[in-house]
Amino acid sequence: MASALAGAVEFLKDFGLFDIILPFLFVFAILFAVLEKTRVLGTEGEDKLPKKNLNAMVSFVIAFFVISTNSVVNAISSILPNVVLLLVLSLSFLILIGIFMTTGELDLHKKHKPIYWIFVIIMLIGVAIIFLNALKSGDETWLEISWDYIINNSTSPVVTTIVLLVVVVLAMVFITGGFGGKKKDDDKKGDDG
Amino acid sequence: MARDLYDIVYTLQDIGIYDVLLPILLVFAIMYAILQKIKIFGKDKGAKSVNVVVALVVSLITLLPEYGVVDRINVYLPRFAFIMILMVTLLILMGLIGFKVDDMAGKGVVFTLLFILTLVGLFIVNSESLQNSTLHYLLQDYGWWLVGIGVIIAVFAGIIGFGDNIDEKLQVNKPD
Repeated sequence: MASALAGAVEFLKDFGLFDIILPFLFVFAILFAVLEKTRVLGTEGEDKLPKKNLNAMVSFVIAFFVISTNSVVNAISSILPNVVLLLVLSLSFLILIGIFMTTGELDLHKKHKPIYWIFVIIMLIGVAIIFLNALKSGDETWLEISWDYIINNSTSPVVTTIVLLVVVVLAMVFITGGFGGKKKDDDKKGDDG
Repeated sequence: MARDLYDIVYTLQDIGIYDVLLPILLVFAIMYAILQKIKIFGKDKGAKSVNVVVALVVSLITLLPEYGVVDRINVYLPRFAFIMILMVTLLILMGLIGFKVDDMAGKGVVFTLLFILTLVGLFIVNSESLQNSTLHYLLQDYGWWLVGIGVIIAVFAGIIGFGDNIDEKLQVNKPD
């Protein structure tokens, strides 16, 4: 890195922005927002407002605990950039698909359900791979350990049972018409009756 | 001293606009837009601030050089733009010979074909930014196999009409 802005990034890195401040802010912001939304720690007043001070204090303490744990900070700073890569990839794909569509909001969930589910599955697998790759046990990542296990034991009862179960579940979902299909139909029948 | 547009681009590159500022802006914009759209932290005023903080943190962490995400984005995005130009020119040519190209994706079979083709295209293009990765070697060895499988699936999809009124076909338990 040689440019002026890259030098600034390097300086901020040495300062500890990426190891301390950003993970702290990230955890604090998410925890605070979740506590405010769910109101787990109770409400106050007649308006039932969330206890802001208590939520802030709990988020602050937990965020501090997180930044003191090196492995968690490393995992966070490894997961987030890779998730962004996945995000950019899927967004660019949607833009390409958008070229062939009419003007209007691209609503895969309503108009193109199969593509939507393909996306969901790819994202799920992608996030799982990124997550496993970020966690380390000794020198190896969890992804390497699990991949090696699958490769070395591809004919073992454990792996074949899991594959069988996945196939059976997928077949059941396909035959019954998806996760939400039946319920929707039942609701509609109930409304008619 | 003669200066041209190339000098301006090189100067911007030297400052670090392409390596630092533009990736931050891109990731921040995408993350913020998605967080605002899905409203994961609720609809209050405070949720907007949280969205800003989360998007900012994610965009800054993306700059970490050890994960090479910025380099990959820098390699990937120009190629993506190239694919986009290819597709638009394809549409122009198809329009020239009389196809109605305003809603091609709405015509199911074409959509399925395009879906598979773009997916394969994206993988192949992106594989260059994933040098030494398993996916790169996989595509190097089995790239044409994958394209072949994609074409076979597309042909079958075309034959059985997969994609034409797809939502109706998927509703197995459709009420009378």
